[in-house]
Amino acid sequence: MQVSKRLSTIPIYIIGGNKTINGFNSVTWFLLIMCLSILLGSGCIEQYNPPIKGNTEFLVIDGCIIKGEELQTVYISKSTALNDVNINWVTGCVVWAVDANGETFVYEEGSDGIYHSNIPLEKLNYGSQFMINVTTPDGTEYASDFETIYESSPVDSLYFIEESYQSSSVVSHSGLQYYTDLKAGENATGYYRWVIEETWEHHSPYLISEMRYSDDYRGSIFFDEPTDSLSVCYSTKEVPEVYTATTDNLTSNEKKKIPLIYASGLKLNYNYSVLIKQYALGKNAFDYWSKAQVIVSEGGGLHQTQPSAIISNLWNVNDPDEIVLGYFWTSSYSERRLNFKGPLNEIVAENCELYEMDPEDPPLFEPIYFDENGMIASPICFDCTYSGGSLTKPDFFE
Amino acid sequence: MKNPLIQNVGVFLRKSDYMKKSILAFLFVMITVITYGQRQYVTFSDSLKGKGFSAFVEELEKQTSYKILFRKDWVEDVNVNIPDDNLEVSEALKLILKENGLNFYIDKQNNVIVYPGKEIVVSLPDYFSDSKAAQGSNIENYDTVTELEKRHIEGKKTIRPTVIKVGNSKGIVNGKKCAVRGRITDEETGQGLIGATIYIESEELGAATDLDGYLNLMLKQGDYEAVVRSMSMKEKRFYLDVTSDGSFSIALMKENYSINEVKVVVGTNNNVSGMQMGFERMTSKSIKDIPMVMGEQDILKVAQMLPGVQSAGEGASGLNVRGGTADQNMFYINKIPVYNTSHLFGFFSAFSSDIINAFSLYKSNIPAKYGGRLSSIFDISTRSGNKKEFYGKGGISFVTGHLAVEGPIKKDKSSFVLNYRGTYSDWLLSQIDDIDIQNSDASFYDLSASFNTEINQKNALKTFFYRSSDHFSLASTDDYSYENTGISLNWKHLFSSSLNGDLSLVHSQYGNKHDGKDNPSEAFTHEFKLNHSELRADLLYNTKKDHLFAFGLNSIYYHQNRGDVLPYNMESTRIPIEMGKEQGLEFALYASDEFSLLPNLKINAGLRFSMFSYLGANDVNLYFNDSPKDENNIKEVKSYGSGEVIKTYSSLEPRILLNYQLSPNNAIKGSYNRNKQYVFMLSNTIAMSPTDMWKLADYHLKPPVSNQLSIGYYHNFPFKGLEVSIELYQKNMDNIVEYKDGVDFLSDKPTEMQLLQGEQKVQGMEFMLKKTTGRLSGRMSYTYSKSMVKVAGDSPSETINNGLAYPSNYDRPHSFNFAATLRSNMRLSFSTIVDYSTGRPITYPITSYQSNGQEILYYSTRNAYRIPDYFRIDLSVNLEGNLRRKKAIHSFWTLNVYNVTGRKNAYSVYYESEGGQMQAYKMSIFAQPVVSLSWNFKFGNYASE
Repeated sequence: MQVSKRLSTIPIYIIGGNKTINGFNSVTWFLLIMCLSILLGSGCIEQYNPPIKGNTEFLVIDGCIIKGEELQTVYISKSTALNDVNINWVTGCVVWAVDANGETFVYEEGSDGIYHSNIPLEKLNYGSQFMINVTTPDGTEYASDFETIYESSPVDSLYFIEESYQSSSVVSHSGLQYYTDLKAGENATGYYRWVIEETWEHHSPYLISEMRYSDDYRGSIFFDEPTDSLSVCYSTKEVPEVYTATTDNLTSNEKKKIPLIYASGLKLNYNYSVLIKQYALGKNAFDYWSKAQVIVSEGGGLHQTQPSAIISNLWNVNDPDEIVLGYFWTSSYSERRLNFKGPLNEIVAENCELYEMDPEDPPLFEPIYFDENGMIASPICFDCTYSGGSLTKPDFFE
Repeated sequence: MKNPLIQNVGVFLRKSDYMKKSILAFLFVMITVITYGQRQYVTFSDSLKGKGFSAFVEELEKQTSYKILFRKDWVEDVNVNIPDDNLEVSEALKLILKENGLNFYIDKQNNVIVYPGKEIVVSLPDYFSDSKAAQGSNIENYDTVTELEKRHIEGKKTIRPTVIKVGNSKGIVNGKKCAVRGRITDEETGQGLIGATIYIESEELGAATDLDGYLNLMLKQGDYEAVVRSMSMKEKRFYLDVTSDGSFSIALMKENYSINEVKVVVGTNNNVSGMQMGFERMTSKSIKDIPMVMGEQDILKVAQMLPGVQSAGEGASGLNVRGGTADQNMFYINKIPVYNTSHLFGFFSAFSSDIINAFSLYKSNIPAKYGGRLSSIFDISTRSGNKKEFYGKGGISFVTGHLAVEGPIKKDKSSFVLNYRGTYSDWLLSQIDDIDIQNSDASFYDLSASFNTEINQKNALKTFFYRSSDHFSLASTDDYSYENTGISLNWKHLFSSSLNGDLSLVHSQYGNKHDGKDNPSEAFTHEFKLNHSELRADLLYNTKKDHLFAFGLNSIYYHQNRGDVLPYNMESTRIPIEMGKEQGLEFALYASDEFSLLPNLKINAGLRFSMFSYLGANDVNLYFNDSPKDENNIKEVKSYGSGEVIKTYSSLEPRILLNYQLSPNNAIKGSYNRNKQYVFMLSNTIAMSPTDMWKLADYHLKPPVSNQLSIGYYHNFPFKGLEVSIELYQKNMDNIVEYKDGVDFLSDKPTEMQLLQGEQKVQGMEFMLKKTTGRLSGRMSYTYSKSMVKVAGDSPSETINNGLAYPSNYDRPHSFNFAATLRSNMRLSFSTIVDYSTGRPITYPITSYQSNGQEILYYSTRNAYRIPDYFRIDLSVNLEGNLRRKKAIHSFWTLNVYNVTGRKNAYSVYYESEGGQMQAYKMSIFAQPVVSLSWNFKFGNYASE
């Protein structure tokens, strides 16, 4: 049961070391409660499109050098208006990295705006320092600060706790809140960031008896037995959230119960797996990512602070006033995977009612799938690849 | 002895039956002449005071032609303690005898027969004489006469001005002006009336009463026709017969609403002739008619209806006056400073309307006696308690319940007021079908107690205790609590009729506590406490040369514990931080004089000298010159011992106001004002939050200062009850506090590394139209203003917005407010509020980009955008129970609809990342009309409200 967007659901969702619940700080949260109490749950939040004017195109240089990776990548693009989902890649740049010894490593453009370099693995050590240089096709030169590769201690633990939350539609169900504990050595860095990749198995609800590629019967495939070959898929996705933590205010370089992803819904019906990569950062890179985290998760309320400017470590060599976005960072990482065998709650996909095809009407979908009774529904209800993912079972699921 | 000639007879009669009435009037005049032709006065010498009744009788018989007949055993306990030095005989007798349960009757031969028990009604009341009320006695003894009869009788009376004598022949100094001190009281309760005015037409001279109902006038010897007015009281005309320095007192009666009569009341002259600018005074009566959300009357919400006063948003605590931050306002309740004026984060104010008598707001010309805040002073005075009868009131709304009682401790001498207000809002939270909300709880209360004693005519003592407390716990993640507690002791002393003074001792404490339990490793508890101890002496001296001097001093000792950040429990590994204690001493001297420079030009010139010392023990970081204050630039750390002066700031603050009166109903005023603030709040959020701490100016942080210039035009339309004013102002502030990015107040990082100081410029125009009389009353105001902040430090890290000016968080150029009440009849009234203002500034993200798979936002320059404009209409209906006089409980219902149009006003606009795409959302708190019903009641002497 999917309820309207996120705010009517109010899951307890604590991000990083930031005192926010579901992206709100507690006072705003209280006000929201007031609104909900008075209006019985309606009308407090609605979509809004602020009128934004002026220049929104800035150069974005984004890249990292990660110890243990074969291929290092730098992305160069122009920023876009908020509602523009496209990325305006900048092609034809000259990109090279320099280490502390002055050795240079040239990047080559793969696809548009994406530049790769094979920096030899033996050059990537704890304590190694790198910077990058970019010259755009119009000849403007950009450079970054030197960044150090810090050592990441192994992921101490990854676990989840079943936490229930409430939806405005009164149907309550639970999800999994993942946590990690951090145990870094006394000499290790105190700044970390986690990148999370989740993989889930999903099934289409009906099996296919007939596939019809067009309404003139030219390309129909019939199966004697309804086939399950397209009904089980595995989707993998990087979670588009920033998770950071620091042990700055703590007596030891350890921190417990750092909240990560909150998983719920259809994803937990079958096999589900979470892979976390724990990146060790320097102070500056941490500041960058933790500000990015705050900005992603809050803004605008009366009890929220002024958004702070995210400070890039890149600049135009000849014009320091030019706004350059993005960050160049270096790191090492350790990783850990945790599988969950569903279902947690058996949740049924919506919009999969079967109905009879009306020969008079032109087909809505292509191809058309029929079940064993000759009923049709949206292809997504027969072929799981329509919802993304592959049919190959990953090896971490037995 | 002068005999007042009866004037104005018949003026108040309607034309149609003029003839009939004038004959009647003539008859009354005749009677008057006969009975009161020999009105005689008795002068009290000091030797008489405190003596027995016999001595008084002897003196009286010596001075007048009266003969007193009495039985000795009745008057054994009678003491003569007469306040005024010159009294009419029957008044004097009444004052002396009433207290002892005795009554008297005067026959035509001037024989006075004293007897015990109730007054004997020997005849129909003859005509209405103000003189009976004039000395504060109660003539409303109509037990034997029905209301209808009373009206019938009174309707036929003429109003004959009384003569009040001031001074005596001994004090006569020929040719010099006399200092006349007056007190105007509510006849029913005996309490002083605030803001009541006296006006002497022949001299074009007026004065208004202070918080205790006193006023001062300078008059030459002679007879004056004076008129006294106060809101919702009957105006009273009388003659002042001034012979020397002296005092008088006069009691006003409640104005009764009459349905068939249309009354034209001349508006008060305050707006035009008053020596104030940017000033508002509202009494509990005017507050009562304004509709409120959730059925609560709230003076801070009322204040937001005034031009130049705004809040950051719905449900935000604190007020922003003329573009300033919330901490630039001082709130005094009976001289106790209140550092957090909100309940439930700002939904309610911390002042229960049950006990509020009046509040005054100074926003442009702050009198020299006040200081220490840049934007405004709110001076709230509470009821001083009914000295005659017990009285109570209370009410129930769906969130709170409140009750206040007051009454005499010793009749006519001392009184008390007690109040309590509490919430039961938890049931609301438990209605929400969510486990975390059900596990949250919110509670608050406020209470006060005051005791007032008039020791004698020259000394009065007031004690006031106040406390407000809030607690809120959010699921299992955060606990907040905060509390204001204060006590004030005030001694009012009359040195002479021209010199009086107030001496006050005040202690106030504000504290807050926050337990953050989000993350077990980081869980912490922190408690902050601020102590404010104040001594102040204020004197008022009325010289013979038309000068009104005010002078005095005040001294504040601040002591605050910024608190320790401690691990919440064993599981937490939070590093304990001791944020330290700090103390400081503020001292100020002031003097001001109000006088006429030219016949039409009045001036109030004042000077305040303030100084502040930041005291040890503390360690101070000294930084290298010309380098940013951060960890890398510390030159040395200097330690100061306990009580040692670390840094002293001082300031001369001129306060000047000119009033040029073009005509009795037109005036131009101008003022200049400087203020310095030695204590400010650490808050980097737009609205005040319950965890905000205060900070004293210290070695590095300079006290903010403001210079304000205002000019205004004021016009009254007396016969329409309309007042119009327009004010222009320019306020420049320096050393205002801003914050670096990512500031964390719960760290051991020195404050100077986290704060920046800049300048702010505010300009504005405020227009107001007020209608104070008639069945339809209300106000309308429009404000245009601009408030810009600039922080340009020496290095990029000490600069905000690249050193360019940006709109302050409280810059809302257009603001329109309208509030009106229509009284349909005595029991039913309707009121409405319209509130419009430009949306507050906001910093929006203008573009987004991908960084390592994350969508990241890039923001505009600071406050470059605005949230949508705010607009709201409220309606309310007030229905009173029947108005029978002899009812145990008198109650009224208020039905209020907040946000009638259901406009979804933006409280905030924020962005959410949804699958990598940014979407903006608008949050509204009251997104639908909110209906609330409340029931309020009064018992006891309820007529006094």
